[in-house]
Amino acid sequence: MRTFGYCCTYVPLEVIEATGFEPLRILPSSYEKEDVLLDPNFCPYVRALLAYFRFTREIVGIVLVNSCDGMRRLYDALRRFSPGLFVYFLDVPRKSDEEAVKYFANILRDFSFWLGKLNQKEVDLEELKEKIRVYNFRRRAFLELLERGPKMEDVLRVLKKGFPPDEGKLLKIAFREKKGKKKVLISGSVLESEEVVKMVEDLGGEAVFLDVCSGVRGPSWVEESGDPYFNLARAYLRKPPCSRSFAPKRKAILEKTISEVEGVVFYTPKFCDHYLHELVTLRELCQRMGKPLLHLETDYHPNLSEIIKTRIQAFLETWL
Amino acid sequence: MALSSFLNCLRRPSFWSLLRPLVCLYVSREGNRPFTLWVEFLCWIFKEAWKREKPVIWTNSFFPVEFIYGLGAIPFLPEIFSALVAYFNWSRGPISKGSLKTSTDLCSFYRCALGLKEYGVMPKPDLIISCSQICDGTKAFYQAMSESLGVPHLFVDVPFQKGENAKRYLKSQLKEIFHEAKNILGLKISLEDLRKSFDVAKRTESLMREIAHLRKSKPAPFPGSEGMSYVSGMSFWSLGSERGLAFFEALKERIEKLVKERRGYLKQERFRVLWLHHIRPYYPNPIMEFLKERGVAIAYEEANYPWWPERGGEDPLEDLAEKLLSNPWYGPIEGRLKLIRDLVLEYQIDGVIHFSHWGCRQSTGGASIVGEMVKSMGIPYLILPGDGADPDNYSPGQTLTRLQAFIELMERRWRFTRE
Repeated sequence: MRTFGYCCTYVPLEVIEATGFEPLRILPSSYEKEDVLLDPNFCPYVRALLAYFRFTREIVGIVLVNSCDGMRRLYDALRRFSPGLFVYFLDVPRKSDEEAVKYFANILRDFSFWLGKLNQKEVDLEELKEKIRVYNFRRRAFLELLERGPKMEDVLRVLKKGFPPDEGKLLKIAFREKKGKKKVLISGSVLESEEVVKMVEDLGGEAVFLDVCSGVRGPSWVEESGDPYFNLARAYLRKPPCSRSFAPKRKAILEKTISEVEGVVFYTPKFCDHYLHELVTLRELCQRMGKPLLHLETDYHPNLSEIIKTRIQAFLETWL
Repeated sequence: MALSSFLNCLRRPSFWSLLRPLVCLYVSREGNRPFTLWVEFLCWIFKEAWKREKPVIWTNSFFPVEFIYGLGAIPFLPEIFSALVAYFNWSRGPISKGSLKTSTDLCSFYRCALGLKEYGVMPKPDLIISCSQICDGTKAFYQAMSESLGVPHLFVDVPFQKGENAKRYLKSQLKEIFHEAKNILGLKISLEDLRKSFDVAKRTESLMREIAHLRKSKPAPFPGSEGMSYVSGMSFWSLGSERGLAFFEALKERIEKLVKERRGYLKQERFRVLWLHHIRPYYPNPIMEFLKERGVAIAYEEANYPWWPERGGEDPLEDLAEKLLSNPWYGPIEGRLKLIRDLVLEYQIDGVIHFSHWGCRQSTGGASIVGEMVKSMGIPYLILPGDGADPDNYSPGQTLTRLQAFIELMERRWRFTRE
């Protein structure tokens, strides 16, 4: 089966699979970044993606989402500088009301048609519904596992490959030992390295929530009867929102989660505007609730630098 | 103590009432009527915003401000207010205060606005309305402000794609925010009431188009440095108001006269440059003077191009949706490339400067692709990194060296084409 790449949790993988492709989340593990074609004052994840696609030939194409300025410009750059790569731009609304759902359902129909044409495979609605059922089964299995207190380091390792993971991968997840450890929320955008979670856990913290793009941010259920595009649109727009969405409920979710932990680690790649703006709200929330906050800004790197390690250590020693 | 008394003064409507005739008299000595009208407009808007007799709505630059005038409210644009603060060289304090709350990697205009909000020198809004054009900050900053100030926020999610599906989604949102704004502010108006400000906007836009046409003249009649300051300030802030209409009438009259007399704004125009990006450094800096002394005219700037189609006038929301969807800076880069190519040809451009403002991903991300296209036309191209609001993020030596090299490139091209 040919692979088709994606980056964002707003991409319904069911559509990719139903058109005969295997979806693959792209989190390049190389150190290389494109510094010439994109400004150095630019998201390092986006620059890593551009570097990756300039030299990779194993992937047929990629679907990018209207998630941020970085992704919008990556869409322009990939079409220009990676000839041969099929690039689709999915215009995901920032809202989740009925009008947005209708708009997104039409967008998904176009996307499915485009993929089908690319793979010379007619899109079969029954097959799409079957994929929704399979994904729902996986979601249920994963959410049940989440309730049993898995080690978040393992969860992240598995979810980096995509959400929801297939059942086989769940066996690789170990469970936490609960010995009076301090509960920590890890929030932010793309978390590329399990090391952050590992360090928090090794140093006496317990990462209980993983509110990051590479973490638990998919929909928990997609309606199985009726128009599959409409159902997918609704479920994906109403999943736990990230900071790019216009979702006032995100603040309430953050507030509730923070009330259940003793500290917050906020992790962003440099120049990640949505989350840097959200930091204003998060700081105010943590201040009001008396919870310590550590903001880590990194250069999208497969390994953590010593500086970051020291900062995590100091945070856990001093505040928790 | 002195600072706090000064800040208190800024919050008093009477301060702006008193200041208005004095400062207008002072600036009118230069004989630049459009500039005097800009100053008059600012004093009026600050007075009205602090007086609070009408609702105050914060909005972003690319939200169609005529909609807010149509609601009978006073628009307040924190991004442009930050540019003004930078113009007076006061941005250091607010930027450093704003940076404490977030990261120095963010756009300095937003960090400055964040600091200004902390100082309490921006009138508190009754409502915030923003749209997703043209960068991520327009949602994120205003959402953070809404949460911090406890003020409702209405948001227009402008689709990236064009077409009927996008227009339907956009129109439904515009209708919804009209009704929500009306309910939140307790206004007794109907959609028909938007017509008045939309008609004024339509007349103003036709003047803007005439001005854009007049500026194609050689030598360049009007400096781009002013185009990127008070002219774009007025297009963003005043469209749909009678004051905005008067400003563009005066500007057209001024430029028309210069064109008739074949007078350029430089003594001797050697090269014509197109300035890309909506901003320039606003704090005191020698860039514009450096170009001027070397006979380089900024003949036109991307910021002032009236990109949207003429309004039909029958359905105001349809016209607004068309305007938002036709924005060349929000969509695949081909729209911007076409615009730049047209501007280069129509304004007989000798060189293009892309000002890459720190923190502006939407614009700088396309700088290389734009450069490829401009160079393929045989036109020298310069990416000039800098910061529009933060004077501490500006390297004079490096900037002027790059500009000097760019001018030399234009000279070489000129010699080459002569031979």
